[in-house]
Order: sequence, then C-alpha cells, then structure tokens
Amino acid sequence: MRLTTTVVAGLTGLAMTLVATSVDGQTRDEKVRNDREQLADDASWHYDNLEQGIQAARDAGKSLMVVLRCIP
Amino acid sequence: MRLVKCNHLDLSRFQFDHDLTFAVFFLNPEGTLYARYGSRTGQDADEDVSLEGLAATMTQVLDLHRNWPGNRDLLVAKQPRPVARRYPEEYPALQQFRPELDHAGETARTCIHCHQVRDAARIEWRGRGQPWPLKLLFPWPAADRMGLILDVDSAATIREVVPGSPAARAGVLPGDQLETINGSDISSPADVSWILHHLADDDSLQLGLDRRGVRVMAEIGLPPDWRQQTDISWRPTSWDLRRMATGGMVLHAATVAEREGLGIDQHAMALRVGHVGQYGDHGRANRAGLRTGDWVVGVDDRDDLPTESALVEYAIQEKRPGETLTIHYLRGGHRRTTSIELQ
Repeated sequence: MRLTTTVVAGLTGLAMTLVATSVDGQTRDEKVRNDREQLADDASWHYDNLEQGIQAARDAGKSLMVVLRCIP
Repeated sequence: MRLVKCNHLDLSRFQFDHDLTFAVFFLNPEGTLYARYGSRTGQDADEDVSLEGLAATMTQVLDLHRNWPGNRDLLVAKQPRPVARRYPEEYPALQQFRPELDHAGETARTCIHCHQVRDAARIEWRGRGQPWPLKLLFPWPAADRMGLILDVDSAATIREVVPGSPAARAGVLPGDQLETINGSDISSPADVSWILHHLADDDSLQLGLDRRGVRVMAEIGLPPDWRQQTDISWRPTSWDLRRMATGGMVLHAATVAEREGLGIDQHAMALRVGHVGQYGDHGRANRAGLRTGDWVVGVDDRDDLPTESALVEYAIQEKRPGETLTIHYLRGGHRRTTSIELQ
C-alpha cells in the first residue's frame, strides 16, 4: 500500500524525534527550545497548534496523526 | 501534529497512559479516534514500540479512514470517556502551571509533564481518604494480562501465548492477528490496553482473530485479581506512590537463590530494599532506620505481599494518610521492626 504524504511525514518526524533525543550535552530547556526551533516551521509538522492541524486535515480530507512527545 | 506538553491539554479528547513519554493518536477532522499508538510494559521505554509497528498501525488507520463512517460501530468503544478534569491545570496539585511554556525562561519547569497528570489525580484521591479505583492504581494493563505477547513490529499480531494462561485456555495461537476485542477495532497494542483499562471487573473478552485468513473467535475470562497482578514498579508515577506508601523505599522481590540464602520460604514475603529516599516524605523510611540491602518480610500483620506493587496496593487501599505502617525487616540475619507514617 502506498503511504500518503501525511503518513510519510509522520514516519520522518518520528525518526527525527529519535535522533533529537539522542543528542547529549543539552539542558532540558535547550532540548525543548531546540526542538521547537527545529520543527515549528517544518512543513511536515503542525507544531503545538491542534486547531491548525485539524483544519489542515479537514482541508486535505485526511486523517490526523497527533504525536505527544515529552522532550526532556 | 506535534504536542510537547500537557499544559492545557484537552483530557476529554486525549486519553492515554500518562507514564509514557511518546504517545500517538490518529483521528479524523471530526474528532473520531481511529487508533492510539504507544505502549510500555517495563523499564525499557523502547521495548514495546518500533517504527515497523507504528507503520503497521498507520496502514490500518488509513483503511479505517477510507471506510469511515461505515465502520462507525467498530470505533465506538475506542472513543474518549468522560473525565473528572478537562485540563491538567484544574487539578489542585497543578494549579500553579500556566497554559503556555515560558520559552524565554525556565522552559522545562513550566511544563506539565505527562506523569504529573496521573500524580495529580492520585494526590486528589489520596486526599479524599477513600480506596482508589483500581484503574488509577493499575492503569493501562497490557495484553500479557490475558497471556498474550504481541509482535512489536506488527499492529497486533500475537507472537506468543503464555502456556496455561487465559488466552491459551481459549485456544489462541501464535501468529493469530488480533482484529477486535468485544467488537472494537484493534490496530495497536495501545488499543488493547485501552480496552483492558476500561474493562469492568465482571466483563469477559471476546477476541476476533484472523488465523491465516479465517475469522476465529475466542472467549477469554480473566481471574478476579488480574488487574492487581500488573507490575507497576517501572512506572515514573510509582515514585510518588512510594512517597505515599513505602516512605520512599524502592523494593525488589527476592529471587529463588536469594530466598534460599536468607532461609526464607519460597512463598513468604521478601522484598529487598534497593533504595531509600533521603529528603522530605521520600526520606521517611530512611529516618525510620531502613537501609539499602535490608529485607522487608512483613508489614503490619501481613506477610503475604509478594511484590512492591502488592505492598503499595495494601498501603494505599487499606491505610489512610497519617496512619502508621509497621515494617518488619531483616538485617544481618536479625529481625527488626520499625514504623513509618503514611502520606
């Protein structure tokens, strides 16, 4: 089965998350800030804005994948 | 969609195991939940999740989305349940938090961590002086409660069936694909845990299985104490349970060899003190004289609590804050007794 763009973005995002959490030498605050900086403007993600994500899913007629990830 | 905090998280919509640090929800724009993903059964946070498993769940979610709303009945039981508090900040223990993180200041300290939501719910219940709902103490049981070990790289394919377990007695076989439980779609191990978490004490489980292309049903009955047999010691939220119930001790059940060395019967209580807290309410056992390496062999008049989880259940469900827990322990082969005030 061909994966939709939404799913691919999700898989890519998860891989990025796993890589990001392996970075050493950062304080907890830095991890959260760097994650935000890295992903807030990433076209693959709607960052911390549920209503925006729901609207995008509605516009695209797709299902929505919401990832809850504790950074520190 | 990425969420990184529980501050002002709508708990009426996002219901998951708060001991996780990674949880996924799949829903449609109308808010109907298709599936959850993200499970944990022990110390290793990565043991129960994989990219392959997530992809398998995603594939099933796409099918569910394609067939919506004709499959509505399959999804009814997966939907969120009414909650006591809609937002975490409504719990008294979390009222100091604001809806947004302070990214210009102490970002992590202004974040409500997932485990704090469960901690706050338990603190509220403890303050009532009543026994807790069992699902609050033993949340989100895994498929192993039925005797099923799922393949972590699949959506919900059964890798092992524990001999003699309820699932084995019901005729479930390795390789069976778990498709439904009690008529509800199963697309991940987290979906199984959701069903078990909300299972009433007298409910049975009707499993719908795909066995090499043939639909098979299996009826599973669970023993009365199935939920209490769950190991909760790995959970981050057990840290606060230890403050309430053990005076800050971390306890490990004795191995067979350790029992033989101590001269303790194989069925008697023997919990090794693996850690004692130092400060505040976590240091109560320490101040009562208990030390790492001691062996707890009884509390009050009970010597039949085989695990830390069982001891915690006793202290939480049978005793109230301010009451005394008498602890009998061994050190250097000598039996001693002390007591702590429970929180």
